[in-house]
Amino acid sequence: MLLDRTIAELQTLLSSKEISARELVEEAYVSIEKHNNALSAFITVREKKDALRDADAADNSPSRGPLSGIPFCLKDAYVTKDLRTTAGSAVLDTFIPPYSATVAERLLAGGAILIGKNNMDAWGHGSTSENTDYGAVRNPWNLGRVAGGSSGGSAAAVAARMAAFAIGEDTGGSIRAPASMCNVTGLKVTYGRLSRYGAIAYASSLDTVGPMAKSAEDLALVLAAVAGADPRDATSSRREVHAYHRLLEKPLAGTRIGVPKEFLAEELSGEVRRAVDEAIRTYTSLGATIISVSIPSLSFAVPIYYLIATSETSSNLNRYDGVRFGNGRERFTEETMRRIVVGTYALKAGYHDELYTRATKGRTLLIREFDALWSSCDMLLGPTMPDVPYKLGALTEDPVKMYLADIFTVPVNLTGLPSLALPAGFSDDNLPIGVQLIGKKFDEESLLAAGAAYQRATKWHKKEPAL
Amino acid sequence: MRSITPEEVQEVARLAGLHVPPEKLAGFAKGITAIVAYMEEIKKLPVETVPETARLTEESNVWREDTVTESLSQKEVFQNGTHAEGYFVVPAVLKHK
Amino acid sequence: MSKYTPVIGLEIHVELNTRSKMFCGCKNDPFGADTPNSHVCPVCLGMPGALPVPNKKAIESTVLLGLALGCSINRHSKFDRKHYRYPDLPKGYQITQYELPFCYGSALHTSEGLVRLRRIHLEEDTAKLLHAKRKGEESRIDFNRSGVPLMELVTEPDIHSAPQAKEFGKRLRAVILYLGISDADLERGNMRLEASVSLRKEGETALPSYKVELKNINSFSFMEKAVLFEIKRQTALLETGTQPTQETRGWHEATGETVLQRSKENADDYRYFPDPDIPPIELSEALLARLQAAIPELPDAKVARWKQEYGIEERYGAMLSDDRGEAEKWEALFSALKKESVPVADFVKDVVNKKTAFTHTAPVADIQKHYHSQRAVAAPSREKVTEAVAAVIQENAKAVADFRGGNEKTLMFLLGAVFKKLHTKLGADCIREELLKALRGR
Repeated sequence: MLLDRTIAELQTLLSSKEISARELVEEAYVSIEKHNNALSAFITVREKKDALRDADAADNSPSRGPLSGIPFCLKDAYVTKDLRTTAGSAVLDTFIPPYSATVAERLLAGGAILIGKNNMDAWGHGSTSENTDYGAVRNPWNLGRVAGGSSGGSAAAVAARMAAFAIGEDTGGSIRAPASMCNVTGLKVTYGRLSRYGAIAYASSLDTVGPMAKSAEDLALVLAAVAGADPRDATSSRREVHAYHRLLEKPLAGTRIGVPKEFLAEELSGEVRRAVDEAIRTYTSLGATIISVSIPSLSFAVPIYYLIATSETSSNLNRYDGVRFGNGRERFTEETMRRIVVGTYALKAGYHDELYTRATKGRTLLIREFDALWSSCDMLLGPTMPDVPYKLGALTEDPVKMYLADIFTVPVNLTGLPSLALPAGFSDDNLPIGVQLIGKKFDEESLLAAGAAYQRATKWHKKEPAL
Repeated sequence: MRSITPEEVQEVARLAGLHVPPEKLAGFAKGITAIVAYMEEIKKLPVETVPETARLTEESNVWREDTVTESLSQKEVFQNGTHAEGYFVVPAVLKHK
Repeated sequence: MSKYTPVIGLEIHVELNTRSKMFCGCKNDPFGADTPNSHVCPVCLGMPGALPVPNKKAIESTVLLGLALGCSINRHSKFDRKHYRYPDLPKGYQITQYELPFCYGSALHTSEGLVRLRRIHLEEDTAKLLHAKRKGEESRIDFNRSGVPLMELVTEPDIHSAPQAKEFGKRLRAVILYLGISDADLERGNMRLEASVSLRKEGETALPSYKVELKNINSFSFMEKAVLFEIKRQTALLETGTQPTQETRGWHEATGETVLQRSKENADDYRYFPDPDIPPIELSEALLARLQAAIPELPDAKVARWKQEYGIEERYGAMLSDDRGEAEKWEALFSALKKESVPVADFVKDVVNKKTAFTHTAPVADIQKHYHSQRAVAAPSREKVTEAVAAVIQENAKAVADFRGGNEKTLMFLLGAVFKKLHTKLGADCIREELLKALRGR
């Protein structure tokens, strides 16, 4: 399939008119027709004629950018003008935004073709894309397994060749978890690297906007096109954006990669551990030095994260009253209601100091512990999930069990660091396993270069699900 | 370990504009209690002298000049929600402060 | 008053007159909008994914007011979220300042004593909820006002009478108007008054354990009436041994009484936390210096200076200096009149007491003619005045030396001597002027 190729390869073919954007879009819609019913990767698919019209416009446009004519999809957490946006929740089932998210605007301005809006855990509340009012997203590698969450639909869509890339959203692992479970590559950026304007807020001090695709090379291209300050997002970074896609050849020799010993704790399943060990060997062979490091407060990361995230989400979701848009609050799922109630409780007078405030102090501790690592390391390596993709329903009975699955991803959100999730192998049952590379603030380029090097030396990311 | 009564849970839910159906309340409250009990792990953290981190942005003094920009058109304003004669309407019963 | 002292604090909200709203670029013109919901956008409508970006001018105006009132400024400051659910609050929380208001401290002088300011902070206004006329009907919401920058000023409960509350409000309003940061029009709702009233036994220093909040007061005179009524009502209750209930009451002009709006048994739990969407504010020395330099002469200072320069009595000066533009016009006239030896203080007294039809637009020559013709019969000529002044200076060398040495009090003695010589006090201003001129050798 054309959509097996990298974005750069597709752009070369498009520029030389060997293929047309129309063909790419047609291919995407064929994949959707074949597989979306089984996967539930989309909540809203654009009318094919509208996408084709955009494709023709891209084909006929005199100026081309790196993403011109490339089909993409957006997690349904991003508002899109005049195109229904639900955040995975029945509360917004009827919401037609009169405005678009900055990331959407930048991509469309660059000529990329929007195919549709991806299914997700409602409001970002989940790690498996089962907490959705639009049917759980299925893992393209095994329909009885979850696709990961909360950006499960985006990961499944990329894996199933329904688009060349997707924009997901990572608050506690929501790009990295589904990326690893669906064998795609996903980037959680440094907090503030990408504008959050138009991204329906889950937790304002944790939410990040990020790309998902089949390779680090693809991610670099997308990142370069959408990163950068936005006057509409006061927290967006004013730091310079680099040409990430031109910095991928940086050799790995001499790179010091830390492996936190807490990341290799007992919770880790044997199969995941083997994949991580294999990744360590690959990086060693590429010339990196592996160092054992420690994050002493790691075991507190999940409660710290969930106290802050639920507090902030209880606040951010207060606006949904069905008056100016959407439906009433009785349409929230039970999991969402739980998070709102826990968050309201944590902020309540009498508990505020011992719960919310204490958690924000714990956050400072974690930030300090990570900061201390950069004197001896250039980046960190570890698993994304403690286990291979879960069976549907395995985690939904016990919320705490669900939260504990985020043990390796949430510390990165709490500290605001960037992290790249890379396909790193398969279980005996042919279920994908991923690893993550965690970097210094705003050092996406080192991560992407290290990821590209890894993907030149391995073939995991090229494997396709047998749909 | 603290136990949160179903009444307390319903009261907190009310603060958040939520209502737990009575038949689900007991189970829901149990879930809340379990979650909060787990969160209380953080009591073990030695954070007495540690400052809070309320936000991650490294920026400060981000503001806008006092210029007027375009507002939404009436069509855009009212393409969602319940409205009549140019106003959003809310049932009188929803009001309670 | 019987055996109780009123303990009154004020909470005053002021809509700033910035061009755009507090956190978005929508036009700040809720009163003047043609249609409801016409100055709105995703931000002030609280739509999903919208984010607030603070209005720099609004911040500067708030700090400017603080500096003008002598407040301390929190150089490091931030915005917080205050949570409650009501249809006029689109996000379900209001962006305000809880822990680090821009301004705090200082005090405002009133004729009945100093009133300390607790804080001045910046927040966003709510939408306008139009209540249904009949029960069960819908309410309507207009979001044009949602997100308008709102300054909140809170005093300590230092006020102890209704007239003092009114005076405080008026003085504050005068400063705000001078700074040009708000129209502060009570009828239009861009200045809103709330008073908390309680009583304590005379002689006691502890704060009463209850307070009644008076809201919905849209004029200074209503506030005075409401506070007076409330003091009477609470006195009556206390005298029967009943502590007044902690509650919110509104002023009902038609019946001339305060009316219960709602009970406030428990404090609301607003679950404040710092707004993660807005980076902190660090006010630089340069910014503070620039704002400080931009403060014009304020009403109190102007009135004091008018007394000194023109002999105008303070209470008359206060009446003509409420509006800065008007005051400047008056002063231009005073200055011109003074040059022509017209008795400015007398003129002002006549203006205030409505004994003259002249305003600051009248030609100077006409006013001069009127006052000099009035006094022409008895007022001494300039020649005579200069003569008398010279004589007095010669005859009172010691007093003159005292004055020139810095003892301003001898002026009165010397002036009296001149009046004696002229056998009249008519044209006193001019006489005083001539004497001063001669004494200072100008």
